[in-house]
Amino acid sequence: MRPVFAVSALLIVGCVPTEFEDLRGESQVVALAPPDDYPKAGFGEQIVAFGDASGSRIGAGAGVDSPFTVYPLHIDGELRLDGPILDGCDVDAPCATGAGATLVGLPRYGGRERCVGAVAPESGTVELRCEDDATLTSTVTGPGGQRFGFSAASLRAPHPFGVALFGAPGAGGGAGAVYRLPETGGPIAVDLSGGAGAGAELGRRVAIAAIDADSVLLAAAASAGGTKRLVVATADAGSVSVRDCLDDAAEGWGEALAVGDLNGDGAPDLAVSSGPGGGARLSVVRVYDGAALPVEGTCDGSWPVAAELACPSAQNGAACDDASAFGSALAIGDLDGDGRGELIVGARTADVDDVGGAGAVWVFRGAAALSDLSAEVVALRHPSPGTGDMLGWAVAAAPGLDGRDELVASAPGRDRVYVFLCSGLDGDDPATTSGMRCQPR
Amino acid sequence: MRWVMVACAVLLSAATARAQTDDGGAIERARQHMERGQALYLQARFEEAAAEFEAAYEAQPFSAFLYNAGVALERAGQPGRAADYFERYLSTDPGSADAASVRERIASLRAAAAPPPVESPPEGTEPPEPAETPAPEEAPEPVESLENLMSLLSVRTNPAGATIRVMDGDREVSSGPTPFAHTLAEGRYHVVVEHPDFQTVEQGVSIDPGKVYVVIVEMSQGEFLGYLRVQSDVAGAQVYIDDRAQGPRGQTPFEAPIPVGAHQIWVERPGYQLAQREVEVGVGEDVTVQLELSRVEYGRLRVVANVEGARVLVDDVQVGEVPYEGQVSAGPHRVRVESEGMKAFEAQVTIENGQLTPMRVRLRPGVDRGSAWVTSVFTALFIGGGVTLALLGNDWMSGLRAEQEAGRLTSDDPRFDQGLYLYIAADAAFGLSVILGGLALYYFLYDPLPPSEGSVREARDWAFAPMIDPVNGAASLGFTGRF
Repeated sequence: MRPVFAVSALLIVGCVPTEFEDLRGESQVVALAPPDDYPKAGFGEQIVAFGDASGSRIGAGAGVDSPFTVYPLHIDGELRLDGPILDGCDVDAPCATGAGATLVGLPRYGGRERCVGAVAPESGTVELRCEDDATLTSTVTGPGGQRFGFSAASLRAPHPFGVALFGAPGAGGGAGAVYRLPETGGPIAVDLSGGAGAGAELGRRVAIAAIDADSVLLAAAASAGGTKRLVVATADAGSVSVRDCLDDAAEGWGEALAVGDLNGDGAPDLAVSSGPGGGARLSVVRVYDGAALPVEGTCDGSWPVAAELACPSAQNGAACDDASAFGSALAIGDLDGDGRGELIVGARTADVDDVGGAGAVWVFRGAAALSDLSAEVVALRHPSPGTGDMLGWAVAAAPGLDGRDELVASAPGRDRVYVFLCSGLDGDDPATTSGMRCQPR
Repeated sequence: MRWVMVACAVLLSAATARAQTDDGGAIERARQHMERGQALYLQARFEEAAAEFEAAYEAQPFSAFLYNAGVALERAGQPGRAADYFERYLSTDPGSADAASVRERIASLRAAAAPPPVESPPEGTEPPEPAETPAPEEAPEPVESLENLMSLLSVRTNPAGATIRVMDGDREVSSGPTPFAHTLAEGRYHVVVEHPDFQTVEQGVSIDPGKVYVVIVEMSQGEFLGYLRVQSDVAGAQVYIDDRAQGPRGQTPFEAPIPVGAHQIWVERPGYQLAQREVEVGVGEDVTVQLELSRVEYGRLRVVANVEGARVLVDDVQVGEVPYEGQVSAGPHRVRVESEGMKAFEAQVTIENGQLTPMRVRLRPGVDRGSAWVTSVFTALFIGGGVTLALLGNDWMSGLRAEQEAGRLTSDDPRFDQGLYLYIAADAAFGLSVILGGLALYYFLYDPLPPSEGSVREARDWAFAPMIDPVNGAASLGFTGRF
């Protein structure tokens, strides 16, 4: 038998096709693909990540009038990413016209668990699919005619303030408005009048993070002619206090927002960039220290910039320059589990290996001093970049199994959403993998 | 073909020659008178001796007889008569070499014969007749030798008309056509007999005084011969004499007449080294040459087979085609006979020194291995392709492993699918190569026909002889032997 086995091994064992599939199962960058019958290109234009250590989900869609698909990152303490767990707005359950322009993930709403909603700004509705009953659609009806849900942001866990924040830039005849969605019930307007005076289309972009069990820090971008304003406020269930108004003439200023604790001081910090806009956009990411928020009622732009992050040097084949749309998407998550969140910056048109528009994601390691954010930066890219992949079109941080977040970035040019289980930061790379860290699926 | 030599005969005699013709009879009579005259001369009976010499001259008018008669009369004390004979001698042979001395001798004799001066006799009286010197009364003493006598050399040839030259050293004493006779003084002479249509005969002749030498030469178109015997330790060897290009004269043991003189002898036998000897054969000499033959350092190989034109290889070097016979160094060799479409035959053959080793081979048709080779080529191609694909797949795998090490292994990396396909293709290639390899092996091993066969016969001597091809009956000149 041994000679036979040896001969067989010579000819067959050296080429076990399943070896590749086995290795694929050990991937640290997991590609989430749309269902085979997904009707629209650009899967990943919208992504949302939410959940906690008990369960985490990633939702993705292709934008307006497209279905969304929800993937489990982990379930019951086990890493999954093995296929969609939920979908919505598909042929079986069509949504309102324009649904999918924005996605929102809700850990809980209306008594239902782990819901993903497709927002239709034109109708002001949010159609939710939740895991408790994948066939049942719950609809959140917002104010009509206000482009309600043009932007949305959710809290990781239910909060007295609510579970999500929606922008409605068409409210008030274009003045815009911001709504919070409580755990139950309909949207409630958030009074940002203290900072909206100079703005218009408030709510083009929103961001929110919990400061503590009672209050949250929120930011809402507005466009007011040549000047763009970002209104920053703290709020709780009963009150809102504008803390500053950050104006800038740069194109798209405030179109990319992220709120999270970058320095580990317990106060969420703010990262602002210009979004994907064109020529006059700001090619830097400005970081504001949440511990240095101006006093209530301030709207004079006095919140100092704690760090201004420019394009890092080329790294890992990924280049960054003014044409890379550095900062077109922002997210904050604690990828390495050190208690300080990392700033995730998308550069959707970055060249990778000289492939134009392949896109890349830059990760700035959180630091006690925000001025040190640039101390450790890594670039994430696709190993086989394609022209127009636009990796980093949207970025997010999904709660991981071990309390650390996993980086999520979409590449709508190739209809994929990628989960980077390893960010490459020290403490989140295979060399230091132990326990659940940087664990392949 | 046996070489035939025309013999010649030479009859040479001196003094005792007998007459064979009428002329021969006259010579015989002259010889007899000459012998009696010699005997009388030795007995100092000079006048009787002179008479015999005169009789000899009458039988055969040779000047020598006159000279001898003169000598005898001189010794007899008759100078006048002696002078007369000498004068006749000169008149008969005016060109003789001793003519001057003979004249002086005549003058001396004449003077001795003249009467002493006397007063003139009175007129009317007859002068007295000169009186001969009276012979002494005492008995004559015998003569110890004939050295004062001349000899006669007579040469006759058959046929007549030959030219005789008598040489004394480099000087020609006399010459003339046969029948030839010449008076000679004592000495050693060389006689040359020449005729335009016959072999020239030369012979030395010793002339003693007072004798008649008769030489009768049977002219011949042949030559002088001796007898040669050539023997070798190995019988049957070819014998060449003087010119190998003319072919062998015979085989050992060889014997035959041979012209006198120096000769080169070669003895040759296939399988043996050429032996050479130089011999000198005298007239009528019987010479025996004994030669030892030693074998050559090589042997010969003969290969006959049922396929004409089949290649014959000795130690992997092609030496010819069937039917083959050629020289091969002595010792063991690997002989291979092969032909297109036939199964090759190979055998170890030991070639003996100087011997012919026959080898008979029967080649049998081989199985066409074209399918086997084609299948093998495809097998190799599939193996090569499989290895290439596997290596590419491994390369892909290595790259992916490196990505994994760096924490960047991406699940939709195209190398997963490419590597998968490469491995599947490699496995398919390996599988096909196994199948084709087995098929090729079967094609190589499948052989319904028996192998070619052959036999190596015992080595034996070889000889020059026509070689008959056992297949087509074609004959060729070469070495041959027996199977």
